[in-house]
Amino acid sequence: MSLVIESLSAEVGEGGERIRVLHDVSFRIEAGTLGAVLGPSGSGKSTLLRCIAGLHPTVSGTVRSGSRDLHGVPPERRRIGLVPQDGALFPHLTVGENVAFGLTRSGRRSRRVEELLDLVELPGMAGRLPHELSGGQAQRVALARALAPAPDVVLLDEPFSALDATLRGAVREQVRRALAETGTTAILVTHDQTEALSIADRLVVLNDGAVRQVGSPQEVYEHPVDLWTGRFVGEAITVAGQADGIRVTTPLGDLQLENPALGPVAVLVRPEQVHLVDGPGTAARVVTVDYFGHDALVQLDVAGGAGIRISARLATPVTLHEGDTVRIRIADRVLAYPEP
Amino acid sequence: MPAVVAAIPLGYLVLRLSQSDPERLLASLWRTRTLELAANSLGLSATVAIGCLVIGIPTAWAITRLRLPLPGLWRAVATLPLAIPSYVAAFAWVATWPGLSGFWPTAAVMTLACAPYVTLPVAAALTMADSRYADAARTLGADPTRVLLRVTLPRIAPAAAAGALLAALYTLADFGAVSILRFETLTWGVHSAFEGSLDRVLAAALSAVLVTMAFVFVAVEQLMRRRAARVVPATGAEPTTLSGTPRSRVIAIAGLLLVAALSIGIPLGALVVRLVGGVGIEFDWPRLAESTASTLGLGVAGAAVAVILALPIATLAARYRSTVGALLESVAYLGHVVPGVVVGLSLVVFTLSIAPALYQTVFALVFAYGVLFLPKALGSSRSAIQSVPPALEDTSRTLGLGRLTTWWRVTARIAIPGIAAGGLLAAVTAMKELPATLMLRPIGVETLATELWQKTAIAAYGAATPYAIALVIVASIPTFLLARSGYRS
Repeated sequence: MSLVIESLSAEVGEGGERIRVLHDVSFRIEAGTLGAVLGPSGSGKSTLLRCIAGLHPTVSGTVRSGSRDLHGVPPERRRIGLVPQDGALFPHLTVGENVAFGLTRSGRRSRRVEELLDLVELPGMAGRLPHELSGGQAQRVALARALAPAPDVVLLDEPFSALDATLRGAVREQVRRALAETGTTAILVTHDQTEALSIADRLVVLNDGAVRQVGSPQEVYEHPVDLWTGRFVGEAITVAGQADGIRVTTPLGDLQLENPALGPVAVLVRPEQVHLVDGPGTAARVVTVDYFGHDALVQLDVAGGAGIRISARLATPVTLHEGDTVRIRIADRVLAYPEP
Repeated sequence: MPAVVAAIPLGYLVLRLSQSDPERLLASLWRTRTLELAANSLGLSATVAIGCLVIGIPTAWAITRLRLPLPGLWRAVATLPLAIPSYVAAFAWVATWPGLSGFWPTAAVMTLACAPYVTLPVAAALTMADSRYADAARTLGADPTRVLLRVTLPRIAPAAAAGALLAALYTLADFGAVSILRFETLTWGVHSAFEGSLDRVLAAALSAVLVTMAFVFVAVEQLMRRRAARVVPATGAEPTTLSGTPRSRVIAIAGLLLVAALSIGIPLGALVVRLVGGVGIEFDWPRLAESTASTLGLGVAGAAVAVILALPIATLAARYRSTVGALLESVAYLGHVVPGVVVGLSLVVFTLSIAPALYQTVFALVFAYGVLFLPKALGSSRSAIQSVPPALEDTSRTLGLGRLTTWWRVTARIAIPGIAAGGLLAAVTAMKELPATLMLRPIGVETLATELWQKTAIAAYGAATPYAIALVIVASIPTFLLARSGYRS
């Protein structure tokens, strides 16, 4: 079932102290796909999720699930499941009883609970109590519980943020597989760019309660609509430049433009666009080297260049040390935006 | 809705008061007798408050700051007086020395009974006020006396003041102990105006004076409590170091033993001696059994009413931070402020003029218990409901359960231990209740408290003793259970 949000606005607080936290939010998630709402903390992500679930009142706008307009429909009749931030398993019920919570009586008698526990790769755990589970297990039980009544849409609120980094990737993969197997439409909110880019079919970038951009992760990363979005979805630096339509002159050299621009502009450069060269290029001095194993992020001060510091992502092994002088070149086309 | 129900009797009393002949009302208010009773109440409350400070602060200091043998024992001993209803203590003293009566014996008995109201919050404040402030003051050149006066006392002062006001409020509302020790206060005045002369206008006028004083006490107490709450423990505070020279420890132990002997030892000892001495004397056991049964039944029914009234208010107050919720909650706390004798009177007046069929029935009495002990049920239900994460309720809603089903299957299910603890507290307090029970009980129904009171009134001390012991047992149930569950009020 597709999910369509149209000019949704919402407020928090009460009485005279109401603050508008969502402004005319619109986007569409196709049936059976996974959408990610990405935004910094305080951008209104969680409120958006609660509005979709019917747990928070909207000021205006519509939420449609398939052909159903959900205006005025209470949460228990929306057929929208929720996986809260830390799982929020009912502490007084076993894992099996948690999963069965939203099932009808006949559903509880069938093999549905075991099927769902198999789906999230926790077979035979039905008798456990929530406090006996690890964080990743609790998160997967919460997903099984949300999927049990076969909802049209499942909402996931920062589902992986409480897990440690090594576990996060594995749980993310299990969740994605479970959602794909059941063909459930899902929306995940997160402030983690890597997570959003890697898991989502469609990305919604939210800032200060307003949608900045909607698109596939690749579109948003490669063609951000503005400088803020470009810097938010991935590491980037900006340098000032003078554009002549198809090329731009910057302290990093004469670069080819991805988008036509004219006059003074801000140019977005991502670390993976910076290459070390042997031949002609801009001279730079190595400031720090952050080693990550699969690659390294090198901070460089551009020589003679008005205090410009850029970072370069280099494949390992990296033999550079602090103080080394290198030559760099920006290989690909760059994006330019009007000067902020 | 439940808050309105709780406020009806009192509101009705105010209405009746405003409708009565103003001249007669003024005459009742300005009688020398009324002023005398008010002065007695005020004087007694003030004396008890001061007495509680004098006993409570040093006790708290000794149990938190001195290295004493068996520290757990001393803490328990300091709490134990709460398990002896003040009228039982008064009974034990009078039964042993029948001549005791008047202001000073009453003040002494009430002080010994109420001292824990100061001891416990001051001990808590002393535990929180970590020693780094005292250490800093010492390095700034202050001697220990100056540190005590300038650093430590100001930090515990709000807690001590709030505790002393609570003791004063308790004394103001007390009916049993002042009656047994024959000291005439406002509560006694309300009761005798009602019982003796059936003068309801006078009784209502005295009640109005009593309730006004109680509201002033509570207002100041709340103010002090908010100040006390500001003394938050510094993070990573060092636990206070226990100290004390051998001489100071000996003095402290002697003092603690003396207070314990006076507040617990002598009353309990007197009861046990009487009971043992009374073995073989004819005693009406079926009557004791009967009144125990009716005490239990009435207490449980009253607690049930209190919990039923409390749950909607607790849910509103815990989940919705609205002005309405806050207002409802403060109305519900009326039972904490209004003395039992006034709630009793207001229900008598209310049933007689609105629903005469209910006058002197179990319903009116159980309802009075519900109103009086609603705060006991409310406090712990509210915090239990507040501790249920809202995310659980949200999840339940998205899983297809309605608001009420969610409340029943998730919120109430998880909060049940707290709700039950509140109900137990209400039940046990209701079982000790004296003045409202005296005024509202159906003819022929007696509770442990009314039996003790009546037998004491005719100086039948031997016959009263088993009732006193039964009451001490009832009263120690919450102290025991709450201590076991680590509950802090």
